[in-house]
Amino acid sequence: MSVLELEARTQDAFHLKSGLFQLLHLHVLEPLLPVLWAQLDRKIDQAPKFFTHAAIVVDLTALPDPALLSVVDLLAGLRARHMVPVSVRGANSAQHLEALDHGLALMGESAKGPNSTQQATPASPGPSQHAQVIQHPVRSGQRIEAPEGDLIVMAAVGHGAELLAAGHIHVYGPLRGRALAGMNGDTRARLFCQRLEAELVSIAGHYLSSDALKNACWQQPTCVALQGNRLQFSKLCDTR
Amino acid sequence: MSNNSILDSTPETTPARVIVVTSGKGGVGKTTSSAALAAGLAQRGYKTVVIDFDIGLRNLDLVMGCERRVIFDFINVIQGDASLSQALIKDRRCDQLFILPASQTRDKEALTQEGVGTILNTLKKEFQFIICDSPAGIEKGALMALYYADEAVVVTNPEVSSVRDSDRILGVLSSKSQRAEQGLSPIKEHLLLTRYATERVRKGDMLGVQDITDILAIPLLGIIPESKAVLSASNRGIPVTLDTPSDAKLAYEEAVSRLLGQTIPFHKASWTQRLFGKIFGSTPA
Repeated sequence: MSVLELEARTQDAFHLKSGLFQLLHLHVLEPLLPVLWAQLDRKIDQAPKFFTHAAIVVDLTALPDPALLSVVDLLAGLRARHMVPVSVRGANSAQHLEALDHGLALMGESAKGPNSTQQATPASPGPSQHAQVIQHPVRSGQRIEAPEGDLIVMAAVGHGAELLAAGHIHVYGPLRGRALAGMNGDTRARLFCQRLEAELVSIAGHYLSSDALKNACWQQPTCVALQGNRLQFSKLCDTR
Repeated sequence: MSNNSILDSTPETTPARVIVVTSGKGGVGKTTSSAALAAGLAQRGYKTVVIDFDIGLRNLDLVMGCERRVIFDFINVIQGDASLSQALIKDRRCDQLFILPASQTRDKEALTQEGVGTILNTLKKEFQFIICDSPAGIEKGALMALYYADEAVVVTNPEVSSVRDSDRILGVLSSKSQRAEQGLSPIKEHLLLTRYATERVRKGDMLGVQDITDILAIPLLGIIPESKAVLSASNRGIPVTLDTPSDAKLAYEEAVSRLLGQTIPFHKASWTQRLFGKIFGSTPA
């Protein structure tokens, strides 16, 4: 194609948009890789398709010292298991450089770059100044994201709709879709709704779908919180 | 919502209203309802045009009984092959009713936003009601039909997938219309329940009005009962509201009245009781 032809093309060749994806976070608690692989392989065997080609964010913040672990070996092991590591968090600066060398991306606080020697900290805790308030019904197929704080919806949330927030989610109406609070990992996030009829609820990645929800506060005003690894449901006062 | 200006207006003075008849789900009664509502409005003296946006799978002309009179279509006008007056077909039964048919042979790519906008602007000068019969789905054809709408009639059957798709299309209406994009006042939404079978609702086989309005949360325009009259009318190319009296016809006429701002309660009386009530002036139980 000649330069003239290229310049004559007025239609956009691309659009740059930011998207939000749920990614699997692998929180490494054991620096000895053979022990890690033994347990991880058992997990993978339970649901191999779930892990094949899955994008993985490796999180080393739970380790007393990230240098105890070889990031290069960890990445190689993940790839050998057909997972796709995309980023590392909580690594030291040398490990960050290694990760970049191995084709990983800069994401989240690791954007501070290899000059930072601070441990990466999880997203800011507690109730946020950035609360998003939605006053119209959230319809099927719509997705509302509050990546920096709480999300408050003052109407019904339909089946097939999705709410995501870094902080708390409040639905002053029936919740019939999916609600994912604490989406950046804040385990203190809670979900409040006037009528629990959700397809799925999640706090910091711990989720339950509607089958399990039917046994807990179904169709009641409910508060969902995370205690350890389990979602706890408590009935709110009926204000009707 | 009804306000004094609509009730006081006469057919000559009403400003043009562009209403899209949409649903998301296919086969719920959009074309039947577009024809019935348009004919109902025209019968009351409002100059009305109904436009078929289903390029390639057109069937509005069949339901209106004018398929043999289609020479030029919507795409011809957009592409400049014909003028609007050449393409518009005047209904033989009702002189305020016009149809702008779709093309059977072209595909949806021929529809352009500017083209549709220009045609609608021209039509607004002449017509009081412009009914846009949308195709099913949420892709280009449906998006084109709803883009310039001031109001929407969301046609819904009392069953779960139709309600879910209607919810979806409501989301699309509030985000992908010109009014949404330009931050104008939102499209006025109306719920039209069609193929409603009271017995089946009573038995619990079908969703009831309360369940549906709970989920969709938009004002109810009408409840059209499941009726043999509908199939009979479309097979003969007559809009339900121009056909012989039936339960569906009465329900559509009530829906037209509500569209014109009148408050008509939803009766428990059977349609025959209501029809006699209308003729003899008694109030039904």
